[in-house]
Amino acid sequence: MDYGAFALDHARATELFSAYWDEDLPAADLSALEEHLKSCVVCRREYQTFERTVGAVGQLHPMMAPPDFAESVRTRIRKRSRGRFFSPRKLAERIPYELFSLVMLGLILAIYIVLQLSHPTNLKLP
Amino acid sequence: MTTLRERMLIRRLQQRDERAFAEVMRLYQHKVYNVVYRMVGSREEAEDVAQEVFVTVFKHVDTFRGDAKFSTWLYRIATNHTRNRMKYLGRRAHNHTSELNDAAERELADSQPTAMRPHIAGPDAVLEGLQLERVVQQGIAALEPEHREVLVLRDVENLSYDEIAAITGVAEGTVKSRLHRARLALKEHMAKHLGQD
Repeated sequence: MDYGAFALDHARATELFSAYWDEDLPAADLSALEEHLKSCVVCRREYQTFERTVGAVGQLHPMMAPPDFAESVRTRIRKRSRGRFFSPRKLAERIPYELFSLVMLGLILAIYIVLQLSHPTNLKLP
Repeated sequence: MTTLRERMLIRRLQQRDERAFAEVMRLYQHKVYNVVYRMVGSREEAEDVAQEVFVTVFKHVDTFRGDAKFSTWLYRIATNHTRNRMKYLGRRAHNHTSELNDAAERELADSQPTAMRPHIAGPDAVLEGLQLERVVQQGIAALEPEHREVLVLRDVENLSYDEIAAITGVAEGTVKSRLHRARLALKEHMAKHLGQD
């Protein structure tokens, strides 16, 4: 947007504060706001309060989970799953079905070939 | 998108590997707890909600397809649980605002041992810091829930607009406008309670 040197009013300037703080303003808006802040005491003071506010949120001390938090989650999971969640899964559940099918097919084929080879006169490959 | 390390971790989780569970807890428990705490404003509620978040994560880890970052998926679950809890608490405490404020005061007074505080500041500076933190937390608690969540994700967690959009399920433009409204409302709260201009 193109503003004249003093085309921003207080309301419009305030609308740009957040994007200005996040360095997300297009060049035209940026220069218009900076010009306005230089000349407007009210908006400059408003922006300073805005800056202090957002800065204070960023300065909040990180809250740490209680020391037994992970254990409490583990207990809750065990209780809800009746102890099954962390039990080792059955072999068939851990091996993908595709791989399981291929191995089984190979095994059947191998048995078939061995059986046929043990009777060479009847050899019929699939 | 997930990184290779994340994919391996998730695969181990899907195989119910207990060490993977411990690894996820080590990486994310404090982040999730902090986000939830800043949104609900109570340690007791935050602990319960954050535990439910991890229970949901492990219960539904098989459905995680890896088309977003694991942390995005985790934060999405955290914000959904928190939103539901805030709705519930809002309904329950509709006529008990002062009770809630008293509880928030107590939370803040008691919060010192679990928050990471510097030990070098003098008593005046510590008191001033506590006062400021209390006013900020009260200001956050007074925001609309959808404003509160974008403010916490952006200004507490430093997430990008597009991550917040992916977490909250709203357009990036909506994230920006909610964030702006939240910051202005908080500014008014701060000015009123700290005598700022």
